[in-house]
Amino acid sequence: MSAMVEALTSWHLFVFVLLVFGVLPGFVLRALAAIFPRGDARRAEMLGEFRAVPSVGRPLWVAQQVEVAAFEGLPARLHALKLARARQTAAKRRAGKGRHRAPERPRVVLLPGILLAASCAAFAGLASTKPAAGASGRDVGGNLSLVVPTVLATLLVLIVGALVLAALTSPGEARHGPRRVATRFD
Amino acid sequence: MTNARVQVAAALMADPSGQHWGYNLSRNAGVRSGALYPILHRMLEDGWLEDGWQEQSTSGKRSAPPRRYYRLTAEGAAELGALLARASADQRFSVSALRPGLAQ
Repeated sequence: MSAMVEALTSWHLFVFVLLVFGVLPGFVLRALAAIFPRGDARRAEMLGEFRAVPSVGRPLWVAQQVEVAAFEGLPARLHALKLARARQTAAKRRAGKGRHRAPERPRVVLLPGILLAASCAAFAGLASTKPAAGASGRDVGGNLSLVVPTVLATLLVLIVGALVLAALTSPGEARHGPRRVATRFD
Repeated sequence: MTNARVQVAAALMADPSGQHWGYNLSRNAGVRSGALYPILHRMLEDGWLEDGWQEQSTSGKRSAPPRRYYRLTAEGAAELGALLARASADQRFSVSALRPGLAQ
């Protein structure tokens, strides 16, 4: 009994609860929203809906958004990349250069995949924790001590990935893409 | 006509003139997000729904991001009413779940 109380009051559990119900859902959701192309209504909708979800239900809701991001966000991202590439090619042709250059490898496509994999790994890590293996509370603490560093590492990967993704997509694809189209009609 | 589509239609028809939000629709219809949003997107494309953005009231200094709402159009209400009528005659769908929508 005392071991269980000790496990329940350990800092591991505190950090675990703080991450799962406090910080992690927001971070993961923002990373998932970044998979949608900039300006996509679903991106803003996802972030807007997040505030309406009760705190207790947020981890599960965010986990559901992985599916949404995979089956809606990735195709939308690929479509936006294809459009941006077509625009770039058309612009180069108009400028008379790069006519026979092979298309560059779309490196940005890899990043949403990395983000998704990291999100899945985070939730898989959380789901694999056994709440009370055996009868002793030390097992609970042991499992949590494995999970917390995993979650923190995943969080770091997500943040760095989202930052790199934002940095790579903004110059070519979305931020300047629509402006280039607009200038055609000016 | 899938069960998810019928349940979303019933949830929308429970309040045909009101605003519906994704999360609330998901809960009322019992449909997960991955299935709900493609259905809503299709209905938007078909002109059965119209959407808009509503600012969220917050007590803090920073405003929360706006929420997207969906509202049935007249055409959408008619189409979804017909869909629910067809679904009520189909044994694959639970009639009790459709009652709020069919009452409209």
